[in-house]
Amino acid sequence: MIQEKAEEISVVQARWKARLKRLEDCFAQCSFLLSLGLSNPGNRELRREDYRIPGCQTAIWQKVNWENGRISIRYDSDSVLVLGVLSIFQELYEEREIREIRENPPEFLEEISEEVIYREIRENGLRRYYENLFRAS
Amino acid sequence: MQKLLGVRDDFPILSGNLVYLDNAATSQKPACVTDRLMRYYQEENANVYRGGYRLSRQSTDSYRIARKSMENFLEAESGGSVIFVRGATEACNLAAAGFCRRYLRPGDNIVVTELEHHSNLLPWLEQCRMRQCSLRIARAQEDGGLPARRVTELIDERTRLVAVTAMSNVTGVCPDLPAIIEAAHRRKAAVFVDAAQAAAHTELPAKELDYDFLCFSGHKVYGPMGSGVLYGKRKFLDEMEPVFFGGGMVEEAGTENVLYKSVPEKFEAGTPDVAASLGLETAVQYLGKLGRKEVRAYENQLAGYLRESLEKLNGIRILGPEGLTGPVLSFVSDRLSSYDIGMMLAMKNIAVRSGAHCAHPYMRRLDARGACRVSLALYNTRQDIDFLCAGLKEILHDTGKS
Repeated sequence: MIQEKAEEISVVQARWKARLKRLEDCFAQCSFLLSLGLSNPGNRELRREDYRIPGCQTAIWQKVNWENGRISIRYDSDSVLVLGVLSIFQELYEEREIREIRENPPEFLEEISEEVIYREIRENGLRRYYENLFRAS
Repeated sequence: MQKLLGVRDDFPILSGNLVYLDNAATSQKPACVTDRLMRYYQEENANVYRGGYRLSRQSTDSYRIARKSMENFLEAESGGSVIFVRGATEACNLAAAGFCRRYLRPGDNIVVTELEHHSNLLPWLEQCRMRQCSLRIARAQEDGGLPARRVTELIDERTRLVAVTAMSNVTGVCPDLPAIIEAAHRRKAAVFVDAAQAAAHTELPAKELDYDFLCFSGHKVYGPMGSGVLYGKRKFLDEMEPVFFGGGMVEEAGTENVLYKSVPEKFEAGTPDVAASLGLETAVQYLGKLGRKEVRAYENQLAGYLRESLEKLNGIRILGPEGLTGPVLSFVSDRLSSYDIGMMLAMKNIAVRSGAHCAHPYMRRLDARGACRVSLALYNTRQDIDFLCAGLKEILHDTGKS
C-alpha cells in the first residue's frame, strides 16, 4: 500500500474509485473490503475512550498528529469492513498537508454500496473521521 | 404443534429463500392481515365517530370491536382500558407524560431496570429530570440476569411507578413480573410493563398479573406497523390528563375551558389508524387460532435448538445467563464485529440485526459494544437455524477467525 507521495490525492482517489466501480456487486465489494481490512489491521492500542469516534453500529478509533505540516494518522476499528475503508483513507491522506486533505474529501465512499457500509456509518463515523483530520491541525 | 405445520405458507414474504431471523425488530405478516388492510381501504374506509352514513358507522363499530379484541388478547378485566397507539414507543411516552404529570411530585422516584429498551427508559428519565425526581435503575448482573430483588430493593414509599420490560430485546431475559408487581403494590407504586418483545411469545393476562399499565407494538405481533396498544387501569387513566390534543377527544371545547371525553377517546386525539388497528385485531385472532400455548411450546423448542446449535460453534459467545433459552438471543465474536457478521450473513440472505439494539445501558453491563441478535417467530424452523449456523461457520472460517 505504500504510494508515491508525489501523486496528488485526486489521482490516487480516482484510481480507488475506478477499482471499486469495477467490482460487479455488493458481494464483491464486501469481499474486497474484507480482504483489505484483514491485510491492514488497525492499532489495537488505540482502543481507548478518548480516541473513539462516537457511533452506534461500529467503533472507530483515531489518533492524529501533525509534524512539520504533515499528518500522521493511526486508526483502528472493531469492524474488518470498516478497516478496509480506513486503509483507503490512509493511503489517501497519510503524510499529506492540510490543504490537500481539505480539497479532497473522501468521494470514493460514494462507490461503496450502502448494503456494505451503511449510510449511518458513512455519515457519522467516517465523516467525523475525515473532519478530525484537519480539526486536529 | 399440528396447527403450526405449514404455517409458513401463510406468510407470502417467506416464499423465497430469505432466512428471516429479525423478528424482534419486526415480524412478518400473514396474508390474512395484509388482506384485512386491503379490504378496509377498498370496501370500508371512512373516518370514525364523525359521520352518520353507513361506512362511518361501520368503521366506528369495527374500531370498537378491535379494541375489545385487544382487551380479550390481554385477558383484561372491566377495570382496564385499551388505548390504540402507533407502537410501544408512543405508549411509553404517553404513559410517562400522563402519569408523571398527575402523580409525580418533587422528591419522588421512578424505578426502571438496566434491561430496558430506550423507549422504556428515556421517557421516564426525562419526566424525572423535568419534575426534580430521581430515576432509580435496577442493575443487571454481569451475566445479564436480573433477580427480582435488584428491582424490589429500590422501591420505597416515594416510588410512584416501576417500569419494567417483560422480555429483554437483547438477551430475552424475562424479569420476574409477579414478584416485582407484588412488591411495588405493597408500597402503593404502579407498574408499567413493556411487552413489546414478549407479547408475541407469551400470554400476559392483565387480571392475573395485575400490572397497572402494559404496552406492546402491533408490528411485532404479526400486525401492521403503526399499530399498538397501551393498556391501563381505569383508576389511573381516568385521573390522568390527555397528552395529545386535537379533534375527536373533547365533549366541548371553548377558548378557555375544555371538557375532555372519557377514556379511551381522551387519549386518542386525531384520526386514528383504523386500518392498522383492524390489521392488529386480525393478527391477534390469527395467533389465537394457532393457540398461544402451542406457539409458545413450539418457539421454546426452537429456541433450545438455536442455543444448542450456536454453542457448538467456535468463536461465538452468547450473551445473557448461561442456559437461558428464549425467542431472543444475542451473541458476539471476539474477533469479528457484530456489524461484519450481520453484513456477511445478509450477503447469504440471512436476516439478523447487529448493533446496540437501543439498549445502551444493558449492552454496557454485558460488556459488549455491539451484538448480533437472532430472534425467532412462529414461522421459523430448524432449517432456518441450520442455515444460520452454516453461514456463521463459513464466515468465521473464511476470515480466519474460527
